[in-house]
Amino acid sequence: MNKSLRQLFIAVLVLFLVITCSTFFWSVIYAPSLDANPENTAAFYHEAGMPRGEILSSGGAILALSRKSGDSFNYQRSYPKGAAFAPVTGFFSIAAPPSQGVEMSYDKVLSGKGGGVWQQKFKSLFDGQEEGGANVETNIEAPLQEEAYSLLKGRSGAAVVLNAKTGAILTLASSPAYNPNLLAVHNPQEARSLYSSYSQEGAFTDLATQYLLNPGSTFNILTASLALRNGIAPSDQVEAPSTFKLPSGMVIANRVYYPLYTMESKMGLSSAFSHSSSTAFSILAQKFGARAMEKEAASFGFGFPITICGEKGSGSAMASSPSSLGDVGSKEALALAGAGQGGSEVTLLEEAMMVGAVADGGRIMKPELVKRTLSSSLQVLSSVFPTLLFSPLTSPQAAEIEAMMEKLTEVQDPSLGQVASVMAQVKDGSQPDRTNSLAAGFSASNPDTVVAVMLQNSTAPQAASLMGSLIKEAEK
Amino acid sequence: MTRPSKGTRKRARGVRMYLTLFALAIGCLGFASMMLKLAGKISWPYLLTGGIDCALAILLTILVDRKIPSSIRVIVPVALLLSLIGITQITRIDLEYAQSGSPTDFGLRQMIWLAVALALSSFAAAFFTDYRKLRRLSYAFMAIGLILLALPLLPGIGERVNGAKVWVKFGGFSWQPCEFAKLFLAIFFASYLFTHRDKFQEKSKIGRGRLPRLKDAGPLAAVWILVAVILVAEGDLGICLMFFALFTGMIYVASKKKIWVLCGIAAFVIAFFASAGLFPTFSSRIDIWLHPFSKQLYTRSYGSSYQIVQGLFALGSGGLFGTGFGGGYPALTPFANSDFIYSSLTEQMGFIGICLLLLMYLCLITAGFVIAMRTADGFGKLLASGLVFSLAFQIFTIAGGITLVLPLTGLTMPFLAAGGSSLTADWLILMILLLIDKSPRPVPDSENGTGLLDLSVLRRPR
Repeated sequence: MNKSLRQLFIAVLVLFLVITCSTFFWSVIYAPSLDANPENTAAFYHEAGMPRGEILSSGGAILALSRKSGDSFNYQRSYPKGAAFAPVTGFFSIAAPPSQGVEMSYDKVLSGKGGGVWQQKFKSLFDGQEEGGANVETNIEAPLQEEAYSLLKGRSGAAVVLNAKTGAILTLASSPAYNPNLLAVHNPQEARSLYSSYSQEGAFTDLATQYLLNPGSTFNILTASLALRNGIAPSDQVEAPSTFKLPSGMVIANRVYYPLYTMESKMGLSSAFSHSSSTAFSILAQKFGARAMEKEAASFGFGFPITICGEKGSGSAMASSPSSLGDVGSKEALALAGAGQGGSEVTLLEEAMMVGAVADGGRIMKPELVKRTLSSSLQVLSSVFPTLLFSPLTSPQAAEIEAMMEKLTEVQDPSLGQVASVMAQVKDGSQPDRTNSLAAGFSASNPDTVVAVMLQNSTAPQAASLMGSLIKEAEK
Repeated sequence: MTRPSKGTRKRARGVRMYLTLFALAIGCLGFASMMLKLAGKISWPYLLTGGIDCALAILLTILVDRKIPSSIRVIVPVALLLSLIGITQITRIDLEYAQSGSPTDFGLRQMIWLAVALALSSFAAAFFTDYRKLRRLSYAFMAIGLILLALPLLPGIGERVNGAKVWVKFGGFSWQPCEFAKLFLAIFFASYLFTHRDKFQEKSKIGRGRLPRLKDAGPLAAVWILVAVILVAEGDLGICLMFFALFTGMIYVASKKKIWVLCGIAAFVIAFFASAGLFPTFSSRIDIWLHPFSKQLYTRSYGSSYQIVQGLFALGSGGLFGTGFGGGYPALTPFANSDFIYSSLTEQMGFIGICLLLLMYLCLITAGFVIAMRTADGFGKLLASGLVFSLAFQIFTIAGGITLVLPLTGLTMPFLAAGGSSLTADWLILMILLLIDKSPRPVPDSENGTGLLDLSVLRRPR
């Protein structure tokens, strides 16, 4: 009988080998994809079980923090300033992995998993302090962000405020916004159903960086820059007929409320700019040709997604949609693009960068949402230094365009002092009966702070007045 | 072969006690550090019951030492350590339940049950000296076994949990009678096979001369079929598998014929597919085994793959080294302290920890096989082999079910899982193994006294 027993024992050894291998498979080999499974609350619990770092405004105001929660999650993420800062903070929810804002781009820093947090980890080996994530300080000016959101509230639009000298993003507001606090609840059903209804509404789209619209006459900065580069002085006469017929029969017209225009008229480049003459810039674009226009647009950052948040190893970078000139192969498309219509599309962020180039002597600094990362004892772990991204203009050219922008008649608000600005009212891409409006500018007394505003379903003066309010607020 | 000197024997006894104390020290330290980390204190009911457990463990060791001195030494300490690890994990999950607002005390109850199991084992070691007496009562045991097995089917006391009717509510508490039924039926089968062993090895006149005559196999087959019918009616595949392993293993050892293994497998496969066709619970278990990550199966309200997928997440979160006792979120998996203690322990101890745990089990199983092989008594040999093989198969079925090697079953991990009936039954099985080890051995054993686990008997004789 011992022979059969010996065989039985070998069978048992085989069975044990099988379960050892299968356990190894799930716990080690397949573990990363189990951890990444969206249904895996254990992985989220593991993250939530550690104190996640804080997200701070430039002044040190807390935008996101983790508190002891007393339930099985240990910590509750909360956003004291709520929806107003949603495009900046993003959200940390059981419903989905972080996919927005600093929560996404600095995920590894906040959770303490990487991105230069090793010093802190090393220190905690010795001082025994609880191992947690590092803090992230943003460039956001909290009062300005709040003001921007309250002005946008109830409307659909976005606002960006940049420091043109450093590229620091002082405000990144979008409306309608989601409330990250509601997504951070610990009830999985509640969080998931809210997440899916937010996604359906499109609340996760940051209108400042993800929404593309025709730049309209704000695009004149780019065409004017090309004109200056080609030796046309601001006072030089350019063609600016009241209407300009394209080969297809389509007509580009200057806006009718400028009665001074007549057929075949000419005016100075500076006047064409300050009167937002569409025909003048369409004709200029055709004159310079598609290649030159494309090159000019690329020098202003068209065609690239602009990374605004995240460094190497800190998490997935947060980037804007790329602005583009569209396909300008045909003469018609080129003429339309020259007027900021047709296939040319920009984000509000790109708009702010274009105006920023004018404000800062022709340079575009890399827009940065984050200033630095701090350890839990507020020692600086790493800083984000200003970097030059593009330099499309020379300093004199920038000054010339600034002078043209200061003459833009419609935006002048006596209480603001001298303002250099551009504005446009353009057709909504998805609903042609509606118009969107854009305004971007800076005060001559404070040229470092560039404000750009976009409103859906509105007129240009509305965007301009919102921009004016923000310029005033920024000067305080 | 000379008898070992008195000094050697004394030293050998010391080894047994040292091992027990070592197991107690590791188990208690682990429990205490987990408790202090999560709760900050150890409340007096735990201290008191823990103290009683320790005292009874020491008493059992002394009794085994006195009454069964030549038995394998590693069995009691290893089983003790497994039980303590189980208690630590169950209490750890209790603490997590308490944190989310619904406190439970499965850990404390398991400690009380361990005391009961140790007391019964001590009693068996002290007063029950000759297991061969069990043979005389084998038919009575068969009846008791079948009654116990059928008990959950009785209206009024039977309880249906998770689609399987294997619980009995009696007085204030529920228990699973099948664990004891296994013990009683194993005794009956061993006794029957031992008595009729020659008939099973003999060639019959029917067929090609490989099957035993119907007259000899009849009663055995009848009981087997009855067991299968009861278990299918109760709807638990796991216990079915365990009994299948018990019978097939025993018959194979008795007859040395592989045809019996094939018969057993064939019978099981037929029963399996019949049940899959008859019972929706069965087919849904097969569905979730094949497609655990399917969204539809995961979210459906009845018979979803939620539990098994959560169990896999726990395995993944454990990784190589685990989160440590007190880390992780084991309570996310339903039944993390009983059916899914394997996955929640992997989360805590990691793959390396669970390998050590499997090695501890393997140690018990090897000891069981050594006992079965070195005993001269045929009845004891059959009983030991049946019990130890079904124990091994039970571990395989659970771990295999959780890691998707097999469809999931409702079995519990021996010694670890929350549940007093299985803990007590498992300890009694060990006591029977130890008592069998007391019986005369064909090979005079050279190590009588010093080694921990003599494996020489496993070697193929030259």
